[in-house]
Amino acid sequence: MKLFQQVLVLGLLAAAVAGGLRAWQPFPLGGPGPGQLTLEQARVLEHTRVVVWVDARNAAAFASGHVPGAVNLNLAAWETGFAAMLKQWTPDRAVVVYCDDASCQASEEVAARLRGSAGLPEVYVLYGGWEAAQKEMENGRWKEAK
Amino acid sequence: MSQEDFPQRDWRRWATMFGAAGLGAVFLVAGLTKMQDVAGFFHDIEGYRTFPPAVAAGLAYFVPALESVAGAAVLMVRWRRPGAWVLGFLLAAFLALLAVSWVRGLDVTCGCFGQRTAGANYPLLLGRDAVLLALAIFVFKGSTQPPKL
Repeated sequence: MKLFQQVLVLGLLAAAVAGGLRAWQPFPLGGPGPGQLTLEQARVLEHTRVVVWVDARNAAAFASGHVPGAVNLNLAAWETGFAAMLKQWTPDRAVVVYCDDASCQASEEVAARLRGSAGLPEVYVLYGGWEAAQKEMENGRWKEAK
Repeated sequence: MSQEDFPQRDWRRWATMFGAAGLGAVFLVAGLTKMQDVAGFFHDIEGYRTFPPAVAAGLAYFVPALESVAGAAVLMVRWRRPGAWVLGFLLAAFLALLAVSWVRGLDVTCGCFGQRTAGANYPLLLGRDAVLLALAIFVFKGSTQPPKL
């Protein structure tokens, strides 16, 4: 068998292993969906605009750690959280909502309510959520975005 | 072929064998370690700010798999050449990516062995990959020699 064919065989074998790995450890492959921002996009937005960060997790998770300056707002304690958020929000400010990770739904629910009944014009969901933001902060890269 | 050539050829054969064992073990461990935390490796790839999320996610699955398969191949005499070729290709790609990230001033997490350490030591990472690339080339060239005795 020629070298090229052997390399191709190794590549195909690796693709098969990668497929098995995907079945074993699935996570969203599609990237950010409509209305979602990657952490990098959110940080770029932060450079040009004032961003109001909204933490859609429960109070205990918020207390254990959150994005600097974030407001805790979730459906369970909407009134108090929403009042706190309005203290930071002005019509020219974008809102970025996050929850635990790429698979949680709380941020989408809170963002939908902010866009819908609250009527906020510019609301995004952070793709990757707190998990992505926390890694960025642990790596000491969060400060650069400020 | 004179008799004096035999010790030299023998030395080269042993060096290739040990080099292949070291190279294969390094990549087998690196690949299997990253397979334990694909999501973490995905975030490491995203830190290079080079690939769109969908591509980064595909690479997060494929690169550890290719490292493991090629690492195992290098350990087998019959598959040593293509394994070394694949590892050489991967190392050249890693070197290019690291060099570009260094020029761009990115503070990346290498993710090479699944560790999460803040602050990239670029000279160390580039030096390590360059040594491994030289080893891959040595193993590839050594494996092309016909098994004359």
